[in-house]
Amino acid sequence: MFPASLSANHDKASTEDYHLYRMLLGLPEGPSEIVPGAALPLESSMDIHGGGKLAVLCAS
Amino acid sequence: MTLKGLCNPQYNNPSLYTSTMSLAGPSRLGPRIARLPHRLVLEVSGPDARKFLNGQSCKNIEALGGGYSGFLNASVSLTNRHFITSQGRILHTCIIFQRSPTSYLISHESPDDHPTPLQTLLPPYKLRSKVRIKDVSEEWDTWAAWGSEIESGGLMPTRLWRPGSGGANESQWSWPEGIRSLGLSEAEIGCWDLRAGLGMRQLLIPKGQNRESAAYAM
Repeated sequence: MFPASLSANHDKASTEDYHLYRMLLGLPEGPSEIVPGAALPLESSMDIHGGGKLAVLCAS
Repeated sequence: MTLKGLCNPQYNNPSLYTSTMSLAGPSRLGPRIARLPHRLVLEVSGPDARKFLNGQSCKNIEALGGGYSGFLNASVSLTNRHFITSQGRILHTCIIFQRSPTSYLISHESPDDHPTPLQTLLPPYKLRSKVRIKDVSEEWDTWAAWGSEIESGGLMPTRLWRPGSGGANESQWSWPEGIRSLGLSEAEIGCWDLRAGLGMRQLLIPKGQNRESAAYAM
């Protein structure tokens, strides 16, 4: 269901529009871009994107 | 000059992220909203839910009312594809929503070919924690909204760069005057997505009975 609260002032966009917008912002997302078990947090900019504290991202 | 100032003077400029957002053009495009059908939703609830997620995910989840986080490989382990993966690799990135202090919803991507789907990754770590982990993808639709009235004022988050324990500077977002309202109705759940500044809202909308007849049905 379309979110009732935002239907008045938001236009419906496609999932592809979302991916384009996030790519323009430089945000990797999903297992095809952040490969599970291989990608390192700092390589994937998790620190810059607020994904956690550096101590956790680097130390584990 | 302080270490902080030397390393990144430009990041202390509060106008930096707002100008970045303008370049990406949300205000030019107008507010948009899109459904993200590839995302699944996992519910973690119970008296120990917060403690459990603070321990398992990379982030202190209550600090910003939820948001972007991730799950790392905590130990050398065998995945179900029998690859030995080493420590500290990302297994999942996700958006964590706080529904109540004892109930959290995690929007994640675990397609069929994912080596460690989140819904099977987390339960073994429950041990004696009082948490219930349940796949609730059938109950929620994931949406993202962007390009809204961000520049027209309202409460703004601030980003601070602080030297971390290892010497490298660390980015921290905060809402000094309180978290800006998401403008959602009661049944809807959301959080600000601050990955690229105040650019996006991530939303969970209960799946409706009248989905086919809704004006914007997919």
